[in-house]
Formats: sequence, structure tokens, C-alpha cells
Amino acid sequence: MAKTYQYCVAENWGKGFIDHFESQRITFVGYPGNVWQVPAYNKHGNLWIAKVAGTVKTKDEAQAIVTAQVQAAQATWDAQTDEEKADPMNKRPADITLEE
Amino acid sequence: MATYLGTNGSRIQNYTTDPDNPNVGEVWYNETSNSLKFEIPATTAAGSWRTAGNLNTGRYSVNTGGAGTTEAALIFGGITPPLSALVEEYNGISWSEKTDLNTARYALGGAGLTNTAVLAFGGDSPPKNETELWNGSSWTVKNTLNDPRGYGAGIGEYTAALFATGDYPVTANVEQWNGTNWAETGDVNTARYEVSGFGTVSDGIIAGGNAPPRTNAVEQFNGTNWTTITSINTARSGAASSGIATSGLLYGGINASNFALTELWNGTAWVEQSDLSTARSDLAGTGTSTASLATGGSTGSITAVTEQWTGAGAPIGVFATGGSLNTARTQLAGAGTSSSSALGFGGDSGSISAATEKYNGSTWTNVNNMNTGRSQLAGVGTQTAALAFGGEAPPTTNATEVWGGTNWVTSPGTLNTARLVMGSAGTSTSALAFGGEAPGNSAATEVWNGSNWATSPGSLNTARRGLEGFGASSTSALAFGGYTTTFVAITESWNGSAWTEVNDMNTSRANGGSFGIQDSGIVAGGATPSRTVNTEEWNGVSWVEVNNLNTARDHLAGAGTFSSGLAFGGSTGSVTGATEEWSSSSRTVKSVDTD
Repeated sequence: MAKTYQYCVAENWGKGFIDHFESQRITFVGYPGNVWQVPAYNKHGNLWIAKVAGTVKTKDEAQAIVTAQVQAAQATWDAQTDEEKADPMNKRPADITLEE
Repeated sequence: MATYLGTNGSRIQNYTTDPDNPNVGEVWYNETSNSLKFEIPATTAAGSWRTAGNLNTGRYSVNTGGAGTTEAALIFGGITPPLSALVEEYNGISWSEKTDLNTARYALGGAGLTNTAVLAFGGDSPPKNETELWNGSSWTVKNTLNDPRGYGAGIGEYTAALFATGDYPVTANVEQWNGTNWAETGDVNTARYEVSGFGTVSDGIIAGGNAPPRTNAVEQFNGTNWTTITSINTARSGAASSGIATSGLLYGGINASNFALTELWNGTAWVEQSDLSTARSDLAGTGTSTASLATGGSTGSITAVTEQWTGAGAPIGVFATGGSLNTARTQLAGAGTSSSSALGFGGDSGSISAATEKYNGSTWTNVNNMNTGRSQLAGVGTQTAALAFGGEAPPTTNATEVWGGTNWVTSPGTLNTARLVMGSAGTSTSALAFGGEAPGNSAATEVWNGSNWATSPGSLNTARRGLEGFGASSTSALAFGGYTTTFVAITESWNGSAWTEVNDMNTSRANGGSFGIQDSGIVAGGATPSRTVNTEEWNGVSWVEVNNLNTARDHLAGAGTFSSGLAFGGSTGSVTGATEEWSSSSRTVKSVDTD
């Protein structure tokens, strides 16, 4: 099955990391662990990964990075007091599943 | 003769990569791709319908033909039931009652380019020949049609109009209004009723209708004769229409069932467009092919729903990354007027923070701290005149601090109710605090006059916390989202004394980031309860989906306006200092085709 997305790891340096031109052309989704999702087989996605010197990851490799980050956040949440956990707006960080 | 050098002050420049921030219309040569390039505003490739203010009185079989624009429209007559003389005027946001028609009727014709000069003619029941002229405040009786009838198409304006076809009986008859009298003109080729029409007396179009059976036939008038031209894709009657003969829009209608179908006439062909949200027939249509209103009609029952069409070519808003906060944190507050002038303060960076930073469009700079560090606080104002109030110090505080551009000064005027995760709007001299956790969900509203907070009798209709807000002052604000015992999309509008329920957000959320004023703004991110990138635009009437944040987060801060704003900080699962800059009018680069 042809993949819809490609993933890379790149640190968001701030201004110019994703500019308005790029944001208008393709959809970016940032995940924990500096994992970024951009469209696969897309010229603008490829150019952006090159611009930010992103390290391309397979979906499984990207998933492992994201999962490790989420598990760390869940461990932090688990260490909270029962009173803090009882706050209905303080939800335990949810698992994230990346798409192919 | 104008030259590029003379107009732009420089010759065309060569670059190895496209320049970062070219001006609209600027031309350059890209040496890498060997192409001549230029920049234009990025715009939508397709049109779409969005919700607009609903009629006060739902009705169907209303006037056919244009009567105004999306910012200034008029609707008159129809079946409420019974047959109606009611008139309503639209100001771009809401409908208001106006002086009734002299003769109640439905299925009448209408013609007018504004809502201050409109002609109403014909109608049913029984078949009518009355003509009335609206001058913006009252109706004056004018000379009558020769053939009393309804269900025809009104085309043109109040000084030069057509009433084409109609019923009873089904007719091919067409009459032309010269500003004083109606006179017979060329008949259409196919007699029909419940027909749609748009254009002018010298270049008009009728489309569809019921012959019977319902037809897809389209005819064009040249001032003398009607010629059959390209048919609409879907035969129907009772559709609405708007536009001119070279660019028109047809929407809704019925043929066995009600349609949401929309077709765009480009002068040559009918092209399918995005559907109406509410399928219906016998609705009213006004405006142009790029800005139309679809109002009222029948869904099987009478509806008051109004939808607004924005054609292709509308500006596209997007987020881009900006400079990150020096201190990554969540549950902070923001103030500011644009994506290049903002202030971020307070929050939780792993511990309660008093840190304050200002943003110049590319970098955040540390400035003097708040006097009371706190998280989950509220903030309003500008980069040089801001207000911080409430929050969790801990304990929950009612402290208010005023930022004068250099330092925070603790005000003797404190919130009457200490609270956190509240909504806020306004400026450092005219602010509003509403809702929050006090503890328990609060509906309380407090007004800041520059020195003191006063509790207003006008409480939120729904007590909640984690809500967002924006507004220009203590008399003009919007409150949206939050948490009651569940995440909500509730939106309320403040008029200075009371909150009124308006259209909900599309996505329920709490603790998002927002920026704007009462009539226009953005909400981005938040907890749904999952952290989201979802972003919506408030257009003064309803929330519309727009391009999302790049990184999902909640407990972020916002600053700026709809045209230029910031979303910064928050929690992605861990605290972040990431900043995203919103621009409502992005631009795109095009290459010159020399082949």
C-alpha cells in the first residue's frame, strides 16, 4: 500500500523552521520527540525535510520515538498525587498512533 | 512608459534560492531552477458555504431574484405560514425586522443591487400584479404587472428589471420594468415556473424550473430574444441564484427531494461546487457568484437558516513557526496586537513562573518578571500596556498586575473572586474576566475600569472553566469553549451588560489559545480532551475550520488579531516554548511560463 505520509526528526529552531509558504503548500503535524509528519511523494515535503536537515525515519522508527516520549509523559502524570489526577481536565497523556 | 525599475526601485534580482520575504508582485530570477518567479497572495481554489445569521422568521417560497449583497440584503414576503408581508434586512451579521410590504404574498419576484433600493413584484396567492418599491425604510406602490402571476424569476435592478415566466397558468411570458411601467418583451422558449434567474435586462439568464416536468434548460436574454444555452447539470425547480450572465451561481432546489447542490456558471459551462450545508428549496438568493446568501426555504419544514457563499479566491490563513520562548512553559498568558508585537508572562515551566518575555516578530526577549509568579492566569492588552490577573500562585489568587512597558506594578484593585483558567478580553484600562475555577465552575463576570474590578450582574449562561475569550474592551467580547462536566463548544457574546448564546465552535475544547476581537478571531489547539492542532476562525457569526496549528498542544497562550496573531507555549505532553505565527493572508510563489 502506498504510504500517505513520511516522517523525519528535526529540531524546531523557531522562526523560519516552517514558513508561511510551506505551511500553505503542505500540512505539517508535529509530534513529541521532534517528529514531523509531512505528505509522502511530495516535492514540497521533500524540499522542507532537506531545508531543516531532517533525519528521515520510517513510520515504525518515528512511532518508537513518539511512543517513548508519550510513555515518559505518562510516567510523569502517574507520579502525580491522587488529588492532581482527580482533576478531570488533567487527563493522562493519550497514546499516539502514527498513520502510514 | 512605466518600467520595472521605475515602479519597484530596483532591477530584477538574481537569487540561487527564492528570497525569504518578497513583496507581492516582486519578480526575481532563480538561477538554480533557471526560472523567472513572482509572488502573489495565496487564495482558495474552490468556493464554500458557511453559516450566517438566521432569519428572525423562517419562511419559504420567498422572493426570487437579487435584492442586495452578503453585507446588505433584503428578504420580503414568503410563506411563514400564512402568506407573509414580513421584511427583514441583513447587515452581514444578523437580520432585523423592517417595514412590511403593503401586499402580503409569496413566490414573488425581486430586483435590486443594494438593500436600500429594491423592487418587489408579482407573487401568489391568489396571483398578484402588485409592484412595490423599497427606499430603505418604506414601500411605495408602483404600476402593476400586465399578467398577474407568481413563481417567475426576478432579474436586474429597481430601475430596470425582468419578470420571466411564472404561474398560473404556466407561462413563457416575460415583462420588462423601465423604472415606471411594465411592458411585454420576448417570451422564453420553454414555459416554466419556480424558475431561477440572474443578470440584467440586456444580458439575463433563467435556469431550471418546472415546465412540468422539472427541467435543466437554461436560456439567455440579449435584450430582445431568449436563446437556449448550456443546461444545468441537475434539473430542478425552486433553486436560488445570484450573479451576472457571465458568472452566476445556482443553489438548492428540488426534484423528488431537496437539493444542497450548487453549480457555478462561468459563461460557458455549469461547474459543480461545494454543497449547501442545509438542503432546501424555495429559498431566497442574493449577491454575486463570489459572495452570495442562501436564505430560508423549505427542508420539508420551514427553515430560517442562512448560509453565505465565498467563492474561490479568498485569502488563505496559515501558521508558520516563530522564535521559541526562552523559558518553555505551559498555562501562561499573553497580550499583544500582532505576530510581531506580543508579551508572554507567567505559567509553569516545571515550577511556577513569573517570567515575562516580549516578541518582536522573530525572537523573544526576557524583560522584568511579574511580582507574583503564577500559572493558569489571564492576560489582556498590548506589548506595552498589559494586564495580568488571577491564576494559581498557589493558592488561587485575585492579584492584578499592570504592565507599563517596562515593569509590572501590583494594583490595589483585585478580582472580587479569586480564580484560575478564566476567560479574558479587553485592554489594560478596559478589561473583562469571566468564568474560571473559583473553586468549582464559575459564571461570574467582572469588569476592570483601569483601577478596580466590579462584579457584573451579567453572568455567563453556562458556568465553566478553561474557556477562552477575546474582545476589544469590557463592553465587547466573546467567550467560547471550556469545561463544565465535559468539554464544551459553547460560545457566548457580551454586549457590555449580558451574555447571549451564539453559534457553537465545531470542536469542543478547553484551554486553547486565542486572539482577536468580538467580530473576528482565531482559536487554536486546546484539550478535546486529547491535545489538538484544530484551529477555527470566528467570522462574527459562526466558527469556520481553517488551517491548523503545526503542533498539537493545550494550555497555550495567544496574542494579536485575526489578520496577524501568535500562539505560543503550552503543553504537548511536556512543556514547550514553540511559537507559531498566524497570518490570515499568506502568499505563494509562481513561475513565469515562457514556453
